Amino acid sequence: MKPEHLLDAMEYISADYIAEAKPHTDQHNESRVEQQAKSAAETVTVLSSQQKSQRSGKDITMSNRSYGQRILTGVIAAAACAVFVGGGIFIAMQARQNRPETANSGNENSGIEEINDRNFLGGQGEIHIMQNMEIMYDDINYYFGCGHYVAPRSSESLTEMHEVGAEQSEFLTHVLTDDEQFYYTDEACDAIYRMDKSGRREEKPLFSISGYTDWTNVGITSIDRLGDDEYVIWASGDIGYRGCRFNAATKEADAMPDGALPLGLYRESDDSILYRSGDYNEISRYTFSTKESVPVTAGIRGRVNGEWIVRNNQLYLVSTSAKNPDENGTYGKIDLATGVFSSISTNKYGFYSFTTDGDKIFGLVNDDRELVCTDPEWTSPETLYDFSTAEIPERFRDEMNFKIPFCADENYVCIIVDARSDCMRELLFDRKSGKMLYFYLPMSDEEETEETDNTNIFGGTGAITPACMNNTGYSSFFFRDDTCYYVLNGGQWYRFALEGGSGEPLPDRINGAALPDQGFLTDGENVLTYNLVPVNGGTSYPDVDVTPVTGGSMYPSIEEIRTMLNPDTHSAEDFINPVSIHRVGDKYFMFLRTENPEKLEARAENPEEAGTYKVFIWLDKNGNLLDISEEKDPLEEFGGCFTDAENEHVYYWCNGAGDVQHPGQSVTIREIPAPGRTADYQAPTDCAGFCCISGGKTLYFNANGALCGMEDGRQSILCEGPGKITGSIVLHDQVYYIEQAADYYDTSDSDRLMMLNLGADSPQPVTIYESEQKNEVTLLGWTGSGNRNEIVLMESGAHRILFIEPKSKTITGELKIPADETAQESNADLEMVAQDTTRAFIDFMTNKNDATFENLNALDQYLSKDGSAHQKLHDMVSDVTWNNPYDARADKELTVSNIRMNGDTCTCDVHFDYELTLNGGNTQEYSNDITWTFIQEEGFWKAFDFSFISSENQTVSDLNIEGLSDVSGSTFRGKLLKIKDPSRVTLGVSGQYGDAYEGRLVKDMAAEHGAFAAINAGGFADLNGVGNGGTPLGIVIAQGKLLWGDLNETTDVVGFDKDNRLRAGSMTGKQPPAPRSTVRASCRTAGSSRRNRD
Amino acid sequence: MNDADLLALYFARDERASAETFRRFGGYCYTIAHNILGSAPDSEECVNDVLLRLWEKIPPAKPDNFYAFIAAVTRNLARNRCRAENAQKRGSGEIPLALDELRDCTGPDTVEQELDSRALGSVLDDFLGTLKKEHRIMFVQRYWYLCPVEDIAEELGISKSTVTVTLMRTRRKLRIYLEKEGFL
Repeated sequence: MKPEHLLDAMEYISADYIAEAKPHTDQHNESRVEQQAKSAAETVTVLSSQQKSQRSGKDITMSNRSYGQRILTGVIAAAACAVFVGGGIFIAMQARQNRPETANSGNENSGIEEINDRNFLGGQGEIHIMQNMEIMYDDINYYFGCGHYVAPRSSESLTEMHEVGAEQSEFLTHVLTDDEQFYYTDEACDAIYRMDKSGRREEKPLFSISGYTDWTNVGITSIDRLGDDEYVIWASGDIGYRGCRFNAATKEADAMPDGALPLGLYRESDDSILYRSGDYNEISRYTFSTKESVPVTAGIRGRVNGEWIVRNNQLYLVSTSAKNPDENGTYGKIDLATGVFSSISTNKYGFYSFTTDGDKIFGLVNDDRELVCTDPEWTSPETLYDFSTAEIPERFRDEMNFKIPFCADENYVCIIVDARSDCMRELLFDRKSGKMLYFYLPMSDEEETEETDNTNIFGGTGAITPACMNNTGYSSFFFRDDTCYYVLNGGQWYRFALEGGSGEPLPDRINGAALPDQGFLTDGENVLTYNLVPVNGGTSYPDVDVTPVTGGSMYPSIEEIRTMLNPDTHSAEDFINPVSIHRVGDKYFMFLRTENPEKLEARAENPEEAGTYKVFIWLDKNGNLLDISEEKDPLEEFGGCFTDAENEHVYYWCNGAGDVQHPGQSVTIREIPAPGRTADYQAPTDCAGFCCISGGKTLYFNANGALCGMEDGRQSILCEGPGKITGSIVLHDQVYYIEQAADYYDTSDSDRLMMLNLGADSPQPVTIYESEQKNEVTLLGWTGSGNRNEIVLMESGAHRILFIEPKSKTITGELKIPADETAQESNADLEMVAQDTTRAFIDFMTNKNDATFENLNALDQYLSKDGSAHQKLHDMVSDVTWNNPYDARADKELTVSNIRMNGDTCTCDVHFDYELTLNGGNTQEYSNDITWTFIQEEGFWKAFDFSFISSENQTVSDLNIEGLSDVSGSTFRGKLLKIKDPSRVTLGVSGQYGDAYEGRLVKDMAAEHGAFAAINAGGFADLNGVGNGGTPLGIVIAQGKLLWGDLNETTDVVGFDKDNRLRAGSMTGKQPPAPRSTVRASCRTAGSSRRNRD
Repeated sequence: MNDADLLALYFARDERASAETFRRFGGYCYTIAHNILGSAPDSEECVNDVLLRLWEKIPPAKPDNFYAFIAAVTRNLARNRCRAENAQKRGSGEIPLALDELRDCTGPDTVEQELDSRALGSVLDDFLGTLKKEHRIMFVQRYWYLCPVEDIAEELGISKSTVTVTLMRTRRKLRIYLEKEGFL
């Protein structure tokens, strides 16, 4: 068992013990805490507001199964529920609470009074009920699905519902209504209690199964009101449904025959009701006196579809064909007196289901395009809403083919939209304003997953889309959603407000899900991880790294792809590495590479037989496989893909870095036509850097850096070599590219964003933006559309992304990337930085193969450009530009020690040994000691200064200090530092001594004194290992003054006297062993405490 | 406003719940987080997370002891953050020290054990029940709240060495208790 187990297990101790041990805070501490908390509070306000708004999506979850049940219920209800309430008032009505309102609890806080006005649904005010609680609303919320899903009434036209918590959900399963009164069923569903809108129940049940019936193994499921005190109470169980007429005044109960379905009834007379029965296909009349049930719709063709309504002894309904239940039905009426059905012709409307409110019916006509309101006789139809001309929210646009008018009241008409399995969608038509409100509930594929989180994978809201595009597709590391930009830089994701400004690093895991550190694949619409897991909408779950969020992807999974691969050329163990995905017209294209792990080692020697392949997959618009092909993948550098949507071609290039011009390198462009298309592309022969293919013309850079075009087999130079190109895009007949600084050391030169207008007679480069960076600017692409295109580039050195409007040549946006937290953390480990810097330094100094400038460039990344180290090393270029006459270098020990932090600066010592094998075969060892001074620069540690002591020159003259050397004996091993001038040695003290004071670290004291070297000078009291370093052992004398100990006590002392002579021995503070001096400084002082010994 | 009123705000989805929670418990949350994380910015962020987590958990959660609930949420979030961000490497609070001390009552880590934290927690709970109240408070403050020894001493008005020695003896007792219960 590890200590961590104990600490973890403490989580489960009693809450009483936790509360009992609650630490107090004294006045001082309180104020400190409050002060710190106050600053946190400011953040809280911002964060909580934002996160809570995100949360409105977070809680929304429903499994496919429950969704299926939900929809099933909805459809059945829509098809079956013409619930009446007596007197001809139909289903949708306002609940009139006949229970007295609860008295206010008396809390004088106005806010609490307001809260006490809340109803059991969690909202406030009176609850309006539609369709037996399926839809409800109060003063502040809409409630769907019997209250399980909530949306604010202050919503805009498109609103996300959220699911109530588990406890509320459980509570709601016990709530029933007869459309006038709420009821609560007990745990066993054996008894039913009246309940007021605040959720308080009467103590005595209105009805109990055991009290009034002999039913067993059933539970109360619904209640319908027949009159003031008369109800039909329904129960269900193993043997089906049972109904019971119950008079609350007389306490008389009259059980009905088995088989009646509680899906809507109409009181036809004192002795009879109409209700739906028999698998929803029939409406029957039940007579209480005879206990007989007789179908009244037996004469109609097919089944009853949708709701039904009784007016003037006429039963209005829609019937469907028995042969084809999906066939649109016939709207008509049955004369309840004669049982004769007569059609009311609505064929021209395509009308097949309706819902009702009072004397009105509401239906969808003209292929569901129009919502109409009419009287049952269909004499005066009125179009309320025309979906064909309305602006449908994008989220609903593809889901509007199947709609069901569900319920209505005096304020709203509810329409259920048949949605994909991952989302519930409902519409409320506001009868007063004429507006249509759209509600949706994103749902996951997971079964009843707890603690789900519907924020996207970045923790933001809305779908993730690429933030910019270029001729090769979309950026894989620059995305946005409804609220933020997200940038992957140095393995760390950052979040930025859409307005720009400084970003903040995202945690490695959001809601338990890990953010990939390699960006995402995207075709502009779909966003997938490199494991082909879709993340567009962005649900993530605890304990699951990445979870599909859109109900699946149109792209096949890795495992599906594995089954598609040719078994003759691929093994089950092959690595499958997706490279890019593209939309090409109405098709989709995937570019993958596969590797055989067993043959990888052979790749370098025989690329053709190394078991590596390029795989090209074409899919249709629905994700169905159209074609898969493959070709061997010889050892060549893959550049990227460009798509030609019009001609349904994909091109890719190799041997070169695509849009980066590589003088002297030959780039190969190949085509992959879509199935049914002809391969007819003729590639240029002198391509050194690829731009794009536009209008049948290939734009590229030749080996001289000239921009060329190739069309109909003819190659032409469009513009002579503009310079060294490091990225290009073609947008609206204009080529944008980054021209790198020609001379890195020319301070007047820098990287520039240039533009060539190909539409001009003689295109001339125009400078759009001149960076202050050199070799640090990357062209990412463009964003926006139409005339709002902005060029997006990244200045790595300045840690920012710029949006540049090319026409006005102005910077329209800037995303400042903060210090890379990961890099900062690793850089905080000075040891690693110092090692890397030292190696780069030695590379530069030893200058193998006359690579002075390459080595200096490599070293520069570790140097502060404003520092003396940068200056010194650049000044040394002339000293090291000779070809060092050695054959090989063997690096040996490299140790970093004595790291001394001082705010934003740090010094450390590096010892580095290496051995050179000279031309003659002789070897020579070199031992080097470097003291680096690093400073924090934009989040990175950069070398500002250094001192270098090589084995050939092991002194630092101005300090009179000889080089540090290792010493060892049979019982010790240490370092020896010879100091020629002992007057430079001084004693640092930690401050005041005693139990009340803590000691300090040697390095801190050294930093305070600006010491070149320091060493512990003594011991401190450390009883039971919890000493704080504040109590020295022996005596401490500094600057001739006794700071600790007894001058008369004999103790072991090492120190310098006032003449700077070292004295050591057992003595008192008063008793100098040498006659001429007193002890100037003793060598016993406070050391580091136990806590920070390391 | 008492705990019941505060819970009512949460159940009414009233955003004042967060503000009121912060006003009443923000300082305590911060202290707990700071004990664990040892970093002011991290602790502040942790307090934010706590408020959000409470908002998410209540309802359906309806804690009987609101303070214990919020303290547990804070501790868990802070420890998760500590783990996730490798805060120990960055110089975190009391966790490394507490773990070091708890080695007194754990066994050699030579065998991989599948430990049921809940069962171990139950035993710990029983063990705490055997302690004197002041010793229990000391133990919980040190290893649940991860308070520094000096803070506990100051809190309880005793010397640091008393706290240290008492904790050491308690750990020894715990070791014996765990051995009897078969955990060691």
